Amino acid sequence: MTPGSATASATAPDADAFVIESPGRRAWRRLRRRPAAMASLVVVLVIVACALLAPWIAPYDPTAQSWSAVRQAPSAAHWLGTDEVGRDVLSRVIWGARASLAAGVISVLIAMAAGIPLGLLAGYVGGWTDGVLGRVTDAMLAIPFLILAIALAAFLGPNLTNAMIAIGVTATPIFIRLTRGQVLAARSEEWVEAARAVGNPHWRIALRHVLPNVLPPILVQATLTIATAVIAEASLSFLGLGQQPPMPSWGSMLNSAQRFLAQAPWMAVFPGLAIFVTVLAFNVLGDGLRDALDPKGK
Amino acid sequence: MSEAPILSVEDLAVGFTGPDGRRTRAVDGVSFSVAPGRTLGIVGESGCGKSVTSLAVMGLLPRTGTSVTGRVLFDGRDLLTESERTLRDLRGDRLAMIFQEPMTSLNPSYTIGDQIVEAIVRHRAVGKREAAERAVEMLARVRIPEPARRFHDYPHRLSGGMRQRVMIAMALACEPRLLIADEPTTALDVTIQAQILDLMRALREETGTAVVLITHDLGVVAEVCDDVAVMYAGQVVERAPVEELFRFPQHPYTVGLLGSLPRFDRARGRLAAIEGTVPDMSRPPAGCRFAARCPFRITRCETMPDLVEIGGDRATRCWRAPLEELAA
Repeated sequence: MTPGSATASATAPDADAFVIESPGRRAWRRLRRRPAAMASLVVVLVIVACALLAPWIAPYDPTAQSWSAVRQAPSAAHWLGTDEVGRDVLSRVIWGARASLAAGVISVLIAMAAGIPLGLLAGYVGGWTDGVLGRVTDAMLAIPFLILAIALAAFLGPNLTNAMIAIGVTATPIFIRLTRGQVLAARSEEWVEAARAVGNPHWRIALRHVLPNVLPPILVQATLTIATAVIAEASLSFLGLGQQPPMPSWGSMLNSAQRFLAQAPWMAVFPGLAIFVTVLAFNVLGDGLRDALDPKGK
Repeated sequence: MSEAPILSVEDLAVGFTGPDGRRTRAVDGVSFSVAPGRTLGIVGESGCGKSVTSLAVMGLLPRTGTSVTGRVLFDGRDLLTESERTLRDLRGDRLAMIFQEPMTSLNPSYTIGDQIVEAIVRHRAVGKREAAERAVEMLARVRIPEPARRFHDYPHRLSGGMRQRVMIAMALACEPRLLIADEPTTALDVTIQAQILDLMRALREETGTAVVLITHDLGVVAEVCDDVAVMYAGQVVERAPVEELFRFPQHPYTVGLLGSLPRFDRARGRLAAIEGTVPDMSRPPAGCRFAARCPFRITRCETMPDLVEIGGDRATRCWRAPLEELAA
C-alpha cells in the first residue's frame, strides 16, 4: 500500500499519521487507478511521440511519389499500402499526426487563451460585462460548431494555421461559459471574502485565488475539446480548408481516398482509424481526468 | 472607558436596493465604540444587521445597490470616505477580520503557510523567507502543534478548530489594532469553542488589539466581552458593560434573550421564548421595532425611542427604562 492510498482510506481523525498530498498528486494517484484512462494516456503519448519523431520513424518520405507503386495493397514494403500517386500510407499517417495534434492542441490553446480570461472577467465582474459576453457566447454557441469553423476557415483562407485559428475561435465560447460558471460558484465562497479581508485587490483575488480553483474542470474540458478539434481539423482538411497538399493530414488523406474506396480501401481505413483512435483516447482520458479531479470522488 | 476608542461608529446606516427596486434598511443608526485592548460584543439574532455592520466597517459590502451613511472613525479617520486603495492597505494590516465558517474561509488550492505568508508580504516590506518564519511563529502562537510541519498543509487536512486557529494567525500576523470576529465559534463544537475563545482572550491580552465580537450566543458574550451592544432589527437597542447587562438588562428584548438561556442556578420549567417574529425590514414599523413582540408595550411605543444614556456607561432604546420598576 502506498502512503497516498493510506491517507485516502483514513479520513480526518489520525492527524499525526498524515502525508502531505497536493491536489495534483492526489489526482494523479486516482488517475493511475483507472485502467481505461491510463491506456488512453499511453495511446495519447504514443501519438504525440509519432508526431514529434515523424522524420525519424516514418519509413518513407510522406510526399515522395512513386509511379511504380500506385494504390498498392498493404505489403511488407508498404505496411499500410500506398495511395493514388504511390506515397506510403504509413508514413503519411505518421506525418499526419503532426497536423492533427497541432491543430487539436494549438486550437484548444487559442480557445483557452481567449476563453479563460473572458470567462474570468464575466464571472468575477458580473453586471453588464457579463451580460455582453453572455449574449456573444450565446450567439456563437447557437451556430453548430463545425459550420462556424468551416465558415471562419473559408473566410480566413485555406491553410493549416487558419484552420487552427478558426477552430480555436469556434471553441472559445465553450471556455468562456465554463470558466464563468466556475468563477461564479467560487466567488461566493467565504475564502474570497477572507482574501479581501487581508487587503488583496480584486485583480489579485481573481488571478491568484479564484483562477487556480476553477482550473480542474477547465483542464477536463480542454482534453475533451482536443478530441473535437481533431475531428474539426480532419473535416476542414477533408474539405480542402486545412492542411494543403502535398503535406499529409488525416482529413485530406480521407478526401483523396474517397474516390478509391472500392479499389483501395486501405487509403481510407488507416487515416480513419487514426482519427478514431486519437479522438477516443482524448475522450476517455478526459473522462478519467474528470473523475480523478472530482473533489467528491475517492 | 478611559482610553480613547480605536474604533467609533457613529450613526451608521446601510440600505440595500434589491433587483426589484425594494429598499431594505439592514442597519439603521448604529453607534458604538471600542477602546484598545477591550472586547465589544455585538449580539442579536440572525438578520439583525450585525454582520452587515462588520462588513461596513471593513468596507467589504458590495458597491452596487448599497448605500452606507454615517461615520466609521478608525484611528481618527473616517473609513467611509477613504478610497478603496487606502482601505486595502488597512485591511489585513491595521484592521483584520475572521469569519464564521473556518471550513470554507481558507483557499483550498494553497497551503496554510502560503496564505499567511501572502497576508504578511502584502503589508510588510519583508521577503518570502522572513514572512515564512513569521508565519510559523504565528502558527505557534495560536497553539498549533508542530507549526513548521503544519505550515505546508493544505486546509483540507485540518479540522475546523485548527482552521479557525489558522484564520486567527493570519488575521493577527500584522498585529492589527482592531480585530472583527464574525461568529468565530458558531461553526465549531462546544469544547473547541471554549479553546478558541480562550485563545482569542489570551492573544488580546498579549497584543492589546481591540476586538469586536459578533455573535448570537450570550454565553460567548459573558465569557469574553467587556462591553455589549445588543442589536435588534438593524438598531442598537441596548449598550452596557457586560456584567451590568446580565444583571440588570434595560431593554425588553435583552430581557427576552436572557430569558431564553438555559441556566443551572435556577430551577425553571420551559425556557422563555420571545413571541412573534422580526419585522420586515423593507417596511419597518414607525415606532419601536420591538413593540409588536414586547410584553411591556404602551401606546407611547408607537413613536421611535432614542438610544439614551441612563448612567453607568449604559444606554437603552426603550421608553420604559429603567425596567426594574416594572418587575413589581
